[in-house]
Amino acid sequence: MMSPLVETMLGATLSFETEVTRLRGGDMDAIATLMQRYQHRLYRYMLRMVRQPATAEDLFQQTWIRVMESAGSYDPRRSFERWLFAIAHNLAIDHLRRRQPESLDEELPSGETRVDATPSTAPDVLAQLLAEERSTFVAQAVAEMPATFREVLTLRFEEEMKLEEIAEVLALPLGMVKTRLHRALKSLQSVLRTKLETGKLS
Amino acid sequence: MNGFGMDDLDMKAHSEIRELLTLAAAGVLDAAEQRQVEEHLVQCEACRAEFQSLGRLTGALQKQIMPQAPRSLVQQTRRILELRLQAQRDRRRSYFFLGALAVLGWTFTLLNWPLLRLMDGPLIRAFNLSGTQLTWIWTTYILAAWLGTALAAAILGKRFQQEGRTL
Repeated sequence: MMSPLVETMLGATLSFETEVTRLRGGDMDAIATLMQRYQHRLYRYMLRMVRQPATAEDLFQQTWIRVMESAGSYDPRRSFERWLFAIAHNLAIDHLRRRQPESLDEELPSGETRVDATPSTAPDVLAQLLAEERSTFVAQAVAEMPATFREVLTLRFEEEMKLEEIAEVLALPLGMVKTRLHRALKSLQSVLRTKLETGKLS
Repeated sequence: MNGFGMDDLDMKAHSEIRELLTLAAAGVLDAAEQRQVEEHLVQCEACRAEFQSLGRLTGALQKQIMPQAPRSLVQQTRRILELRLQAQRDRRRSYFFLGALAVLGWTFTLLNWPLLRLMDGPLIRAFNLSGTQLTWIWTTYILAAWLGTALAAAILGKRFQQEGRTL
């Protein structure tokens, strides 16, 4: 006999699979159910990527239009979540490229990236900052980072995706995702230290 | 031994582990790498401090305020999708209707031929036409009918496309 928890989980999985199957048939209710399920995660991802609520809302709508248009070609053996985020990623990157075509990595004027410029022996004043749970500062610092770094951080720490899942969403090799995550964390650490030392945190 | 109390071999391992600390703090290392990092952390104070600092950072990232999608956004998106879906269905229905019309038109014109053969005696006598003239008239009529249908289909198709773009 199954426990209520297992039954609930199994029921949720079955109903989710049904929604995805119905989605392929262009069923509006199925799309609405899936939209309900992913609304906050997708909106959050878009907001982290483009930083403007109005643009995030626009891209949110475009993502669901794309989902509806491509539903027929969706392979149900593939994870719906990764497929959805891959669509969102493509739309966000296209938007950012149109807006700032020079680079999504935003290198420093010297040609270095922020990570290369990180002093390796900076004092750990960061502990003081984070111990005070001033997570607003962290959010602020993340928002100032290049889009590629913001993206990998939000997928890992907010969406709690595994490296393999992030690699599938971004259509990148696993090694490159590892490097990007490493560089993003080092960069964030450096930015926060610099801000704290120069008193730029409000 | 160097100034930090490590020999060259330890220093090499230290540098390698140092590079893994961010990924360890992010919780994405495989079991073997994670064990390697943990073993190193027991004996290296500098790496332990760095790992703790990174751990606090990743903790703060997980604790960020999660923005929620505005309620109106979902409703608005649903309305847009419904309109698009409706337009898609209308378009499909129109294409089907157009296709059926074309098939009907073509069938009708093709069926004219046996009908014409049945009546060609009385027709030739009434208008004093030769068999060749009759065939030419019939062929011209068929081509004009087909051309007309194709033109109508193209105009309607273009209109559907424009309607689709405005949605």
